[in-house]
Parts: sequence; C-alpha cells; structure tokens
Amino acid sequence: MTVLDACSAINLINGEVLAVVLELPQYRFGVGPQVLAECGTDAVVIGSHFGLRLEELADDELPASLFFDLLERYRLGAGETECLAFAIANNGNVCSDDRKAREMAAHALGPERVLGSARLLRDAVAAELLNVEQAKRAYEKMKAFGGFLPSLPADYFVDC
Amino acid sequence: MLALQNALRGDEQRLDGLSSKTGIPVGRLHELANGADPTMREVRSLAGVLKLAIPDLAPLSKETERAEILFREMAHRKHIPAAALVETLSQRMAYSLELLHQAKSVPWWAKEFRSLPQGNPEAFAMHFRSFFCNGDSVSPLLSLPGLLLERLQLMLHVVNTPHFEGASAYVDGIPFIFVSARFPPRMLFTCAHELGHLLAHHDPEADFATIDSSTDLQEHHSHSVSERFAHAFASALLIPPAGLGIVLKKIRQLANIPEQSPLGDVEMLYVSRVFGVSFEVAARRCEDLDLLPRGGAVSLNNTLKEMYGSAEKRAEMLHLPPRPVISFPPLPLTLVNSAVERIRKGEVSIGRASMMLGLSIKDLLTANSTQLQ
Repeated sequence: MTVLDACSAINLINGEVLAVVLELPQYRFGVGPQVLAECGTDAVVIGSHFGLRLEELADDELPASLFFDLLERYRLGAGETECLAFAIANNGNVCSDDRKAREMAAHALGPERVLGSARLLRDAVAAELLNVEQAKRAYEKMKAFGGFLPSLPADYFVDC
Repeated sequence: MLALQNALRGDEQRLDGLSSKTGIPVGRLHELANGADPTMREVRSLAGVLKLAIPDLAPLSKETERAEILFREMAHRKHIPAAALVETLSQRMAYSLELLHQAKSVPWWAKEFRSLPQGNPEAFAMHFRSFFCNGDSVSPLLSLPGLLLERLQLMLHVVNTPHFEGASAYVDGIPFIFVSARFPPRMLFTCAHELGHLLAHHDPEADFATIDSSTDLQEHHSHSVSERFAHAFASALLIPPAGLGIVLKKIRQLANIPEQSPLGDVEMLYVSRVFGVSFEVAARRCEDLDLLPRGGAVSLNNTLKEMYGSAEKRAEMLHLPPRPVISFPPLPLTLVNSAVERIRKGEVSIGRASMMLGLSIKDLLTANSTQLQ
C-alpha cells in the first residue's frame, strides 16, 4: 500500500497524470480521510477513483495514540501525519512531495519506503504508460502550479 | 489525549448530546473520558462536533505554552474571563513565531520612539507620521493596517472572537497586534490604540503582552495612564489637527454653515467618515482640541442615538457619502512568505504550514507559484 498525501495528490492532478499513475501495476494506492479533506475541491477528482485503482482508507481502526505520537514527534500537518500512521499500520509506503514530510517519513519508515510524484512519473515511463516528453511536461506543469518540487537531472526520465 | 479527555468532561446530558451528534455510544464516550485510546474516526467525529481542529487535541507546544503564560497573566489582571481567547491568541502567536523562526531582535523603528517625551501622544503621532507617512500630517490614515504589515513588519492578526477588543505583545522582539473582527472603523481605532501601546509602553527587549477588553471612550475616563495615552495617541494619529482643520473648513463651505456657529452633528458625521473613525471618536477628538465643549461628544452621541437610533443611521438619512473601505489583510504577507521559504528549505512541512496559517494546501502552492514567477 502506498499512501498519498495531499500535496502529492494535488500535484499529480495538476500535472494531469493522477489517472495514469494509478494504473501502475506494481502499486496499490490509498488516501485517508484527513488527506482527502485537505485536498479541497480536488477531493472530487480523487474520490472519482475510489473503488477502482485507489482505496479510500478508513480510520476506524487507526489508533489515535499512534497519530498523536507521530504528530508530536515529527511536527507535520494532520494529513501528513495520518499518511505516516496508515503507512505504519499497513506496513506500507508514503508518497509525498514535501521535503520535510519526506525526511520525517524516511526517519520513521526508512528511506526505501518513501517516494514522490517524480518517482511515479519515472515508473510510468518505464511501464510505457507515458513517454519521456509527457512525463517532463507533467512535471513542469506541477511546478508551474506551485509544487514544491526539486529540479531534476535532464536524463531523469530517460534512464529508466 | 488529555485534551480530548478534558473536552469530554461534563454531565450525562452533555454526553448524550455528543453521542447523538457523533454516533458514538455514551458508554464509549465514558471510556474515552476515562482515558481509553480512541480511534482516529472517533477523534474526527468528536473534533467536528466540538468545533476543534484535530491538532488542537494534541499537547500544547512549548511556544504556545510560553505565549499562554503571557496572555493568561494579563487576562487575569484585567479580569477578562477568557480561557478560549487566551488559547486563540496564544496559538496564533506561537504559530507565527514558529513560522518566522528568527533570532531575537528588536525592530529597527522601536528605538526611534524611545527618546520622545512619555505622556505626549500628539508628539508620538506626529513622529509616526513623519517616519512612515512621508511627513503627511493631514491625510486620513485608512491604510494603517497595510502600513503596519508592510513597513513595520508587524504581525497584525484579525481574530474572530467577541471576548476582547484588541491586544498587543512583543515576543522575541517580534511585535504583535490582535484586533477583534468588528465594525471596520472600530477595528482601525483599536489597531492604532494597540500601536500606541507598542510604541510607548512595551519594551521590545522583554516579552510582554496586554489585552484590552474595550477601547470605548467613556470607559477610558477611569482607565490607567497607559490606556488614556493609547487612546489619545490613536485619536491623534487617525485625526491629525491640520487635517481636521482643512476638512471642517471644507464641510462648512459645502454645507453653507457660517464660520462662527458652533460645531454640530453634521460636521462630526462628515469628519468620522473622512477619517474612517466612529462618530464618538471624531467628536471626542474635537472635544480634546477644544472645538467642542467638554462633554459635548457624549451629549451629541446620546442625542443622535435617541433621535435616530445611531449616528450611522443619521448619516444615512443625510445621504452622506458612503464610508471608505478599510481593509485588513487576512494574514501578514511576511508570514506567508516566510512559510513558503521554510517549506522550500524543508524546515516546515506544507501540511503544518497550512494548519498554522489557516490556508489550504492549494493556497500555499499558489503562493509558491506566485513567488517563483
């Protein structure tokens, strides 16, 4: 299970690649209720994928003690913390485009269990769901919409 | 989860109400009140009904605790029953401190007012105008909120709670003003009043806070020297004598009022609209400048209330021009910019910044996009 946080979900929507990325066969994606609430109007777009290739994660089994421990320890937002709590509870991964949230997730889960939308685009190219130009364009769109994303090496989408 | 336990304390009737609104059985609410670990679903349901954000149920941060001590002491001293108010102000302040995250430093302008004679509000007001308004000692100062945010880099927060009028503080040398969301001319006056406290009374080197439950004129007769100063400073800053003279002359010309006749309600109503203050503030300023007899402001205001319902209603009946817009920016731009910068550096996450500023994640992405352009 790869749990999306709000900024990565919004970035993927802004890059018009959410539907493509959700098709990646090696992933099973999920979104929790707090993250959904943080996505504002984009929650409708996200919700349209529930029951297809995106799981709506229920928090009726998620212990609040775990959430509040993580909130206090890592000082992230509620959605980012929920994401981390779901990843811990499900032995899953976290997908975030936020630098601090990724660092904290790497600390809590190990760096191999943390990824971002750039990595998903790269995997989409490898899976031939996108070509290199489409991936580059999507990434630039995400940045143009204000995504807090790093500059990538020119061959990032080529060598995969 | 002590905060949730505290929030669930109360009689059976209250728990029944919470149970019917959240769908959580009363027995389970008792268990939660006694310290059982809730699920996140239960926390979300309860937070929604209790009108709390989920992070509000977490233990207080060190910054919030520090700010709470300052405000709680002052609220207690001034007999303001304000647990929720103290919490709101403290949290806003703590979030600002966390987002700004700057080393303790005194604002450059603070020392400029130290050498002025204490107890002379006119001198403070003139000095402020010479410093920040290019020496303009005539014009209305409706843009004061924007000026405080941009030129003085002051943290001005509008707070949507009725339990206070205004508050001001220095923490780590960062100046704060909190204004209760009300009739904009009243907010403008409160803003100037709190500025008076910051310029003359608070020591920027020491952490200090004050809360004003009211800035009403009549109450200030009995208030302390510092409150009377802040009030007089606000009047002098917003209605400079030279500007008032020009406006009164112009009004009398337009309304064909003979120069020798005493000032009346019509002139006061015009003055209040031009300078963006209430009728009471305008009339009291004229009284302080010996343009109205002592007690004239209260008397005129009471007469208008009796005859027309309020001064504003009288102004509408006279078809006076509408009041100019006084805008209070929703958030200090410095805070938003600092948040964007710190998200980029990986010092604060976008989710936490969003929670602290009360902005959505998309708002912060837009702010980042605007800055990049």
